[in-house]
Amino acid sequence: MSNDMGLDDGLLDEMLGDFLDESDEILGSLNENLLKLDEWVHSLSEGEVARCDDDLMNEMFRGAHSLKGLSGMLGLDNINHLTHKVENIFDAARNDQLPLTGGIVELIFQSVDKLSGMIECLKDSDSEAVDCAEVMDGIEKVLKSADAEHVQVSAAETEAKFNQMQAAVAEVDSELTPTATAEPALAPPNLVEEVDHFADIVDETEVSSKYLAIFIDESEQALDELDEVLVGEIDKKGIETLMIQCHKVKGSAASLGLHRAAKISHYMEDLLQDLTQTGGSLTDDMIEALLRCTSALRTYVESLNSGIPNTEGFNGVYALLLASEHATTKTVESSGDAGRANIDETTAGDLSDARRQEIVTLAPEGGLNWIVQVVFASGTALPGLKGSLVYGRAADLGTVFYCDPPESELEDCSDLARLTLGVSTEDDEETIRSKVHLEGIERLEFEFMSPQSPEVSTEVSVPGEVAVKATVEAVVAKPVAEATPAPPKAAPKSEKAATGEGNKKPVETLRVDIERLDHLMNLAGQLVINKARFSQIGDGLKSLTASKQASHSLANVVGIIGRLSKDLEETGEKRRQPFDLDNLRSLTRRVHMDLEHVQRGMQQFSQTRAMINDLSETVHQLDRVTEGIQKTVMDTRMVPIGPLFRRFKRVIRDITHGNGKDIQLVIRGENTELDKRMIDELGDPLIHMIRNCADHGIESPEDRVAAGKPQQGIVTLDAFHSGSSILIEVRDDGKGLDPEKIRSKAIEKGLLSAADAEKLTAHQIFQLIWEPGLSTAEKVTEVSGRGMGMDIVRTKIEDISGAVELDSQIGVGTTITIKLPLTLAILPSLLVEIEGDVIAMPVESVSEIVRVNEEDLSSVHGLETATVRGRVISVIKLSELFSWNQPPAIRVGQESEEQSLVILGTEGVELGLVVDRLLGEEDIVIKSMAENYRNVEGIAGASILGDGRVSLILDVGAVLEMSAQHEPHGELKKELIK
Amino acid sequence: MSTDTLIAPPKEHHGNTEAEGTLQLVSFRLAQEEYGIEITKVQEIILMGEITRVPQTPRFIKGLINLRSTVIPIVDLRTRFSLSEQETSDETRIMVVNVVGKTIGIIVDSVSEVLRVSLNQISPPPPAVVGLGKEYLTGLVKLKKRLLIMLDIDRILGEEGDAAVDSMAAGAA
Repeated sequence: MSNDMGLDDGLLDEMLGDFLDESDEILGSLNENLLKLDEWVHSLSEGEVARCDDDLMNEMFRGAHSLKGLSGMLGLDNINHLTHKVENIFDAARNDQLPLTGGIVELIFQSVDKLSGMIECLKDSDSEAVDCAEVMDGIEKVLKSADAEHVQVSAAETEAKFNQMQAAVAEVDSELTPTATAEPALAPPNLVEEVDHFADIVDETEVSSKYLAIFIDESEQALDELDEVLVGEIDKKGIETLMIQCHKVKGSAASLGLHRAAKISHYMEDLLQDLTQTGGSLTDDMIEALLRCTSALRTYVESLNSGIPNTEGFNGVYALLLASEHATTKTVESSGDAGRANIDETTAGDLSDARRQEIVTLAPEGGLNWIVQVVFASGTALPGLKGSLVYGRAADLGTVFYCDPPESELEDCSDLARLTLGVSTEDDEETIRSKVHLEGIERLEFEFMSPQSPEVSTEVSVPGEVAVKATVEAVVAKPVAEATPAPPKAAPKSEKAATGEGNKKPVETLRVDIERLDHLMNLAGQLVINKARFSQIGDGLKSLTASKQASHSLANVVGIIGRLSKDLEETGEKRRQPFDLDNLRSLTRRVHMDLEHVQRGMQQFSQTRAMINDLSETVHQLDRVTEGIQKTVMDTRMVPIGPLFRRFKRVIRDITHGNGKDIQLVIRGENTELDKRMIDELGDPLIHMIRNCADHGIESPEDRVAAGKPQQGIVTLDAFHSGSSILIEVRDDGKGLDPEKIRSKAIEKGLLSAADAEKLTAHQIFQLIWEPGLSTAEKVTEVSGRGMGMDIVRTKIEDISGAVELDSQIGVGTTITIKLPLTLAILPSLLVEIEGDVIAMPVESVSEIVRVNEEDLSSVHGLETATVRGRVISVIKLSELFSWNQPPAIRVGQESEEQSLVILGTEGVELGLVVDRLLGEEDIVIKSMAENYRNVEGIAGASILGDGRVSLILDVGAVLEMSAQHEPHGELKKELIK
Repeated sequence: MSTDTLIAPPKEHHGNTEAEGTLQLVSFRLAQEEYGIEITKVQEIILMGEITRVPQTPRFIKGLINLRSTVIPIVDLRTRFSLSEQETSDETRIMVVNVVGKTIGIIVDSVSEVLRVSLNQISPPPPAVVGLGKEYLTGLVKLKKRLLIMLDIDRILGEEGDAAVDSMAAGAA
């Protein structure tokens, strides 16, 4: 990647990361919009030329534009060129220079694909380089054909300021895309929207709170950066940094439809761009203006947080920006057009702060106060007279409290270029405009003065900024035409509209490196293990102190010995036999004393019981905290499945284009959340399934109609929770699978013998579809039919600990169900002891636990079975299934009359596993065995128990399979597996 | 086993601080023989603990242990080299070694010392070494009064791993 900006790598990396994130989003929405566009194009009858929905075109244009800008900033030339071309197409289309056809939409689709490819390249340097020359050529051709008109149209737009803008934009473009200069005719009037100022720019009202939060987060960072650079010493590199940050804000604001913020940052960027072009440096005025812009933006961004956007600062700062720029650029600009624009700009230049202050002080309390600046076209006859006419009309509307030059002098003025009026009126801007406008007035500038409240001045934090300008330039071509059709809205109204954006507070977000989360996850896992250890210690201690009786018996002994020694003493005194008795007496006394000591010790010991209770209470709390942490960490990894699902709309579209079918994709449960890793892994298998549905499942429209079904086939994607797993369903209402066909195909392919095949139920037959090499498709199309897809699907799903099943009914449709665990790392399991080994098995796959007596067990064909509530279930011992090379641990399960059976699997494929002891249910952390060793058949992994021992996790699916091989009738499956 | 492998390691693992041409070894005993493993491969030495057995593995895989929340396999070197089995004693240790990106433990009779040998003390294994385990030898180190067998620990799991993959493929594919 070229780095001609001379940025340091860190910043570049960070920006690249941002770029990748953003580009994914942009491309996603481009794709979605393209699909809409595609639909629209198809809905047109042959030869009909209609205008496409402006919003749609604008949105796509913005997407392409943002991507162009971002890639340009990063020096990603390929992406930049292509996006530039795509942008041109959108632009031409929305300006009616290019009639949209299916071919063009297809071309754009291809371009978007190429773009995705290129961005993929950036993420993973190993992937193949994408060649987009073909697409670029195609676009160029299309554009050339539209070129003649194009030039015409742009010629019509001769408004001076506009040209200047365009020149600036062209400069931006040429700098960003060196080759773009080769075809200047193609440089489009990109920024048609730029002609107008803020008043008619309304932010999109529906902004997803999620993206809003990201925007707030990002733009705050960018603004911080801007401020930091602006207040310091600014060199060339500083200006570049400023530009990049402005561009960032612009891009992200535009992509959200926050056009006002996008615009102001765009102007900032323009100014800086001009500077780098001319090699000038930032003047104090400019820095001041830029700082005000950032503070206005900051106010805006902060106000977004509260849900009530505040864009009040924008107009004022924009004017400042212009003024500061023109103070310097005047000397630089050379082209006639631009020069002309300059004069206009300077004459139209903003009021000085002092002047505005003056007007503000004159303004009457209450009411709506406007500052109206009337700019007369140069060479207008009798401007003075017209000026006084304007004054008179304004006075009709309300009170004119300020006039410069003074009203009395107006009529005598022979070279009046500008008239400034302070008007207090109840009317809105539009009314004033229509009333005041006269021939010869080139422009009317309105500035709305909000009531002088301290709140406003602190918010903007700039003295003299109390006046909020709602500048609407009456862009009037010369000679002055009728009143402009521009739809200027009254400032207060648009303000209201802005507050209407809703008061929902956006969720604050933070981007976190996934590795850190993995680490946190690992720690949470260890905490779970530690917690289990704590519980065990607590339990152990409890059982130690449980013997309350001990102290009782101790007390008894003490009492007995006491009595004994007393007796002895008494007898001693009576008998007077000193020798033995004295000895005995002293002995018993000593024993008595010792015992009393022990008793005291025991009492102390029993006090620890209270502490142990405390301990278990604490452990209980730890339990809850651990659970909370674990859950929260887990949640941080959860993302909704919606975006993944929506990607398939495109897949369906492509397929329908290829095979002439009419298919609708219905998406449900898009808010169901899955672990990010799982979402990443699911893309591939889902594409396979969807392709299968669309390619083989859904019939052609004729066949459908003939079968009495609606012409349009429906493929449904659904995601929902079920117990502790997530189910994802891919359903079609197509022709369904014919079990007989699969049966014969399987026999033909040698997957199983004809005799065995007869025994299988339809449901079992359907599961054969997952075997490699089995495809029922008569013809292999470019997307599917080779028979490998389903095998890949199953492997992928099993990689993420999922299971997949297929069910179908001829003529009704096919449903594929993917069952996924809620998370990959922590598994609720049943712990059992078998021959001294602690074995864990996912609770998920345990259907029930039963105790069986001898009489429930019987032998069928040398195979042990148990009758559980009328069902016959084959019983298996783990030792028969597994080959152990190490001797079992010491404790061997004693043969008893009763046996515990853990019934594994689901109805139909059930298995009773004999266990010696049930240890209970626990959340265990799965440790991969392949990490340091390798995978072992029948074992899903290992886990660490509370006491630090390692336990094995049973791979129930594999165990079921192994038992099928194990049993005498297992030939069929054995063969199948081979 | 070429001499290249003998000369290469010191360059890799010993930086400027160590004299050129020397090698640091951890020596351990196994059935009256003394072996050496490059110190850079040894992560730590721990006491024997409870080992969880694992089915469907070769006999020399004793099972799994929990090494500070990581599950590592334990190789019984006696079984690996087809030596007679022996009850664990107070001297028995598990050497935790890093081989080809994995961490495994090997059970040895006792760990003796860390020593530094110069490369010219090492000779290639004699061609006529009989018995299993020959393929794991990289050379012999002649010390004053004894011989030290240099072990190619990277291959301890290696071949078994291949075999296991094969058997898995046969069983599950």
